[in-house]
Amino acid sequence: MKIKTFIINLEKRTDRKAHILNEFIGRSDFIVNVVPAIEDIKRSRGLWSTISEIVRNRIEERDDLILLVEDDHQFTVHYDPEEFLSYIRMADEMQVDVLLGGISWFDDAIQLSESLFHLNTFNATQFVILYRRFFDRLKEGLDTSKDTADINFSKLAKKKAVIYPFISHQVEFGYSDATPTNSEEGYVSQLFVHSEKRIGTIKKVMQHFKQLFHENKRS
Amino acid sequence: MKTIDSNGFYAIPTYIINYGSYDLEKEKENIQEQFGPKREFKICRIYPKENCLDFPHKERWGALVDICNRSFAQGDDFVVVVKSSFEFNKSYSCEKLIQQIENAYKLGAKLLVGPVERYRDAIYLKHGLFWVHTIGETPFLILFKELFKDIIATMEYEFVYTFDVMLSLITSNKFLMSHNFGNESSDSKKNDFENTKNDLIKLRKDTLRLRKSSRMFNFDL
Repeated sequence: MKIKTFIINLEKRTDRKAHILNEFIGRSDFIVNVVPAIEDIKRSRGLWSTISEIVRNRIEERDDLILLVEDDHQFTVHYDPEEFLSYIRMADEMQVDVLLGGISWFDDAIQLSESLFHLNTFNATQFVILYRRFFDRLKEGLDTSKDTADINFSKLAKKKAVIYPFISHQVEFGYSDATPTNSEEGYVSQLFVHSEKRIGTIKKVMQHFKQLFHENKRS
Repeated sequence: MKTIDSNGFYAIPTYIINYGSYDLEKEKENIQEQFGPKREFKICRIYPKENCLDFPHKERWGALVDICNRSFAQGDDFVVVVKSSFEFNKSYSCEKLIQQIENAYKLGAKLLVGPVERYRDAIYLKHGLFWVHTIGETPFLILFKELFKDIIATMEYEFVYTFDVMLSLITSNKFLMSHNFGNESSDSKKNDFENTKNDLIKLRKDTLRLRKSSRMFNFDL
């Protein structure tokens, strides 16, 4: 499977472009397209306008899914090409609309499988897979969605899942083109670590009770 | 667990705390109205110190330590600690409450809470019970004997957290009852609890729906 990948990058951010292209060097599973980001006084609106442009004009009939990547995405040590493809297939089987590589915040998470967690509302869109089943609903909601991209996706998509352990983080450049409050050094990284830890705890608790219920059943 | 008194009735040791901001006359009436007809609760009232308009977190925690000391000495299996402004609603049932307490205990609960203002990371298990990572303010909590010593031991440390944070930190074995049997009388609190209840209902529905479609949940959770 080759994954059609749209990398969103403000043309003036050459440092970010160099970084993100470097992330995808040698990764033949991805067909990379760099999309110039639309500039807006409100940065988050610019990001959503760019996503809207991609969804309206660049998705083709034959696309079963697309990957949206922001230029601050970084693969983590947990990324494995084969496993990644298996997660994509599994999420598809589970009728997931949006699959995420990593998130900086979420409200509720429920375990779907060993490595997939269903989410309600989330933050961070640096690595987002959109499935075909979601395309029409997304297109219909592009103009009426007025929040940040992550909240818009949270509201529009019925089933959202994240891969655990995260395969994607946001690398810090000392500034953020989408969320100015994320510019403080170490802040974003810490959010990702915290979210991952929370999901890890949920997983551990689930394992504990799964075992407990099996033991109770046996006795 | 022993919950039956010498007369054969359920008599749960129940400590009613006035956090200081609730009018004492109103409190008296409310307690009579709420707990008077319910023989399953053996009540004991706890007051803030004199001239204390608000019951600060440290004092509240201190009251909880006193309760644990007393309960430990009496050999109680569990105790209920309830805010004096608490009101039962029509769906309250003694049998259901006892059942939830027993179910939670079997799952290893050390702390069981009723309505909460907010929560973080809840996992639906069974019998209307959620495991929960963090809880916000709650007017109704149940402490199991396994927690008494842990709470008593906190007096050796400097109190640096709020009451809610302390409750969340004191044990991982915290459970939340989705059965909504009461609330605080204050309207603003009612709204907070109502919002959380709706979140929990949604979470429970999501969990049950996903379990049907997921291989992960092909066991009796």
